[in-house]
Amino acid sequence: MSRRIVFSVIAALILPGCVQDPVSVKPVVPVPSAKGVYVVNEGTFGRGNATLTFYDLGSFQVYNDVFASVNGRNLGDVGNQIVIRGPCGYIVVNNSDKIEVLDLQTNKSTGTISVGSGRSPRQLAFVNDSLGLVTALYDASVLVVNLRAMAVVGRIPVGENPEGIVVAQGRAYVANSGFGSGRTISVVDLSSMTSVKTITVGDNPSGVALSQEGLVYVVCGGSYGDYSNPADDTPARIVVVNPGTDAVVDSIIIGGHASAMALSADGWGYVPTTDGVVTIDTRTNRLVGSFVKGQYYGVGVEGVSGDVYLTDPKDYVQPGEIAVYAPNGQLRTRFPGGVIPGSIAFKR
Amino acid sequence: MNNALIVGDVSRVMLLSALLSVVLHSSADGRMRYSSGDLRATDPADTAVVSYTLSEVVVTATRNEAALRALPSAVSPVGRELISLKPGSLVVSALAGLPGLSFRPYGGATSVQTISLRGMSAENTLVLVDGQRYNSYQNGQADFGLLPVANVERVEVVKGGYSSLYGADAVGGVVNIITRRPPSETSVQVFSSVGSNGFSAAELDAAGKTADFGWRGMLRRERGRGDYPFLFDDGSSSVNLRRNGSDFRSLVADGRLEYSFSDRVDAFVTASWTDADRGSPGPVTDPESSGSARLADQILRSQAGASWKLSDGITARLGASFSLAEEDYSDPRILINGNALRSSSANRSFLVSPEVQFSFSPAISGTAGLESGRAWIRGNEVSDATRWQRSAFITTRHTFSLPTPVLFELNVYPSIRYDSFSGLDGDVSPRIGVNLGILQSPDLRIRSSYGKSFRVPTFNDLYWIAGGNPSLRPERSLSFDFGVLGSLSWVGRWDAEVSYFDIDSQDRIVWSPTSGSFWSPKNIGRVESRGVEAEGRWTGLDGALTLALNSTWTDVVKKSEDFPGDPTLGKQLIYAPEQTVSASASFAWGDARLFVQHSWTSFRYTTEINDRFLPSYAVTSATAQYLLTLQPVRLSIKLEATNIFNTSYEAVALFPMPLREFRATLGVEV
Repeated sequence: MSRRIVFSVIAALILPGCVQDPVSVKPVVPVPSAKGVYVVNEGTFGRGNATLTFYDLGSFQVYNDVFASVNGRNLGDVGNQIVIRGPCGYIVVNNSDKIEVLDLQTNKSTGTISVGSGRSPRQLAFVNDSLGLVTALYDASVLVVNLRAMAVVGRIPVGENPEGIVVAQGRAYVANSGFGSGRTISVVDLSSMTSVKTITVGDNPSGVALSQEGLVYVVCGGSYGDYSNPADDTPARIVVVNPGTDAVVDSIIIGGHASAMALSADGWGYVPTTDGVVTIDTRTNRLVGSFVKGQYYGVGVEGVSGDVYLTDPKDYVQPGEIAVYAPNGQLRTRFPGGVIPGSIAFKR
Repeated sequence: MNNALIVGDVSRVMLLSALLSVVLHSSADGRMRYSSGDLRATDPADTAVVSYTLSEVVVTATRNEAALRALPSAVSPVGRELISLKPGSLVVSALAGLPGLSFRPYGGATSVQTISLRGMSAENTLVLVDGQRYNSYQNGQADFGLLPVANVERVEVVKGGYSSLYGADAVGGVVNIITRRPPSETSVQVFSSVGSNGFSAAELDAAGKTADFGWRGMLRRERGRGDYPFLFDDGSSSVNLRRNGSDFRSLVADGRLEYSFSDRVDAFVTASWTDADRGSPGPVTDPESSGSARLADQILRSQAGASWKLSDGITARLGASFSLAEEDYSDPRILINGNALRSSSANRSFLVSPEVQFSFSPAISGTAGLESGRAWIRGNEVSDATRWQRSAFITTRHTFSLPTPVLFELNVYPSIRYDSFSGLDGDVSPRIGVNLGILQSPDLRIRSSYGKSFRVPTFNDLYWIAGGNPSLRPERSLSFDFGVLGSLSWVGRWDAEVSYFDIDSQDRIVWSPTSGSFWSPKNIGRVESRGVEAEGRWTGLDGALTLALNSTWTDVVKKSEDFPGDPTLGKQLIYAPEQTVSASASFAWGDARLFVQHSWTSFRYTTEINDRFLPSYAVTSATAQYLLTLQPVRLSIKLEATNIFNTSYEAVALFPMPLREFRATLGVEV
């Protein structure tokens, strides 16, 4: 009897538990020819749940978690940006210290560019088809990336905590956020691949955009000062730099705090701020006023329709949404994204 | 996430904030040790307590000594013998495999690790060392990576809400750690350990006792490279890597002096010092991940107390305790506006606690006491703050015995406590517990308890510079449990118990974005944790063999909306396993002992909407121990193997755990 009891307990010891792992649902993936909108969802820091959303502009079907569905692995930790060049999409995955390269027809990863542990890549801009520049948030540098070799081939020191970057007239313009304390942009000469000057623009520069006219628009988010005292904050402003002369040609106070903007082909700029989304007229560089109310995070403008895509991260915990507005401010639709939807790119 | 986030800059601030949250919340080790009792525990009576039996164990969980079987709720005790036989050198190693506990280790040896009871968060689990609070005042959590087990006599894991006895934060339960007392003989012991991944430890224990005076001291040093191998698997490919940047060193000095002034008056003083420096490489997000962050801790804790036996039934006690905990998290590679990332804080606390323990008859006993103290916080990311605490409590036990074989005993445990904190609402925490003896032979009992508990907002919740909310109220909860337990002597000794629990927590403190620029906490959440703990033990072969098996099912669900349409409503809380199963066997044969433990943990969701999870995993560990007497020297040899089957797993997303590790310890007692 006692032997039987012992065997029973030993059997119990090796038996698995009753609760089974959840079963994954077979994913549905976009068709190769689909035109549409990519949204990178940052995910929650430290949980590796950045995702890629695709909104098919033909069928209006939404595909969430496209990267994992197609590639069988997670995108990574903190997806900061997606930018498209030719047939490829480049996704900057900040806390995974990498850039994922996608074939946009299949959404399959064609390679991973590792930028080096701890460098914290933030935003990517293209010099040409084979060269890219990515800001390294914690490395006070811009990393030179060979897009064909998929490797970092150089490092250019810039200001503290660089974030946004654009390339114009043989130079790169880099927003030195200083993690909220910066006031400058660095100018990188692309022939020598060195930082040749800094330009003072305003408190907390982060986002940078290039207009059709070739002007550089810098989003200066404004200082927070003493966190417990909103009265000492400085307002967000858009600072316009002429890349031909590197002169500051305009400074537009927009109020609140902001970190991103998008420019339309027909002369409008849209900036999500903590006080709502505002419109600026890039022909006159004047603040037009409120575009829509509400707190949005990322922004993109579709080139043909001029529709404005605004990402709504909600409580930064649950999956967010993307709101689509006509240029006149009328809501066209909302579609679901992942956790903290941010960067937007259009596949045409 | 306790740090403030700026909405407009969410990812970068979230990034920094989560980096810091590793400090503020949680990094670890797993390994071993012994002490004077171990080397002498060679007779069958000692080996039998490798596993406890309900009928024999006396615990102090109710502030008065009581038989385990007669308590009103579940308590899992781990005694010195089992502690010395289990693998690992930390208290958390001794707790592995207990029902109702879930563990959140952020890596291997000595990394930060926290414990949760009954599905509640680590902030809702009160950890006491000899009655002194160990949880951080800043983040509410207890870092078990800094708690060695070498000087621990026993641990009592008290499950369910117990604010009525212990005050704030005893919502999921209490981990009550009791350190070793001076033995009856003078002894000097030296231990030396070596293990995988550069682990080494050295320890000196000395203790003695005269008629009036007792003393005990321990000096322990641990260090290791910590660069354990692990398997990085992103779903489409896997690669073998090493966990670089997680080296560690720690030094713990601990001592206790006792003096008996007379048969009626005793006094003691204790002091412990911990100095630790740990690499905290953070999450592994890609194959090239190698963090450079470090976590440095210095902790000084001290207690003094005296007791007067006023009469046969009344003893008065006066205790005072002090703690100073300094923590510094730094990462030279993370440059914030040109300066390396650094987060520093110092927590101090002081508490005076007079109490009277009374026993008017075998049928009525109890304890009444007062507590008054102060806690301070100073840091570069939290405003300087002070909090006063004043508390009063009374707990009694009433036993009604009947001369019948059925329904032979009823124990009733009413208790109530009032806690007042400066700047916060006061809390009254009543609780009633019963234990009813149904059958004497075999022993069969039922027990139940119901009471209120609360958790106070942490200093981070209240005073975090960029978003703390000084207007927060305490979280409040109702805790119910019901259990059946029994013992049977038949072909050895059988013990079994099953407990159902339900903890409904209101006014949960939730950090969320405000309408302005920051994340800030609010009292808006409600969480309910329900579950069943079942465990059984069999001891046979004259106490030489013990087999134990337990399983815990927990359903911990968010029951409130943070805003209309909140999709996280009704979802499981992250990292809470739905089921854990643990089985162990311990065997004593002469001077040799063997211990094997197999623990299985079900999947855990890692996102609030439950769309991602970490898969289930099972880990098996074993130890072999041999005691050898070569007068006048006694030797002990202990060999450990953890994660024997090389399971690749993560308890926390992106924090891989070590594969198989070995350790060996040689002990010499003179």
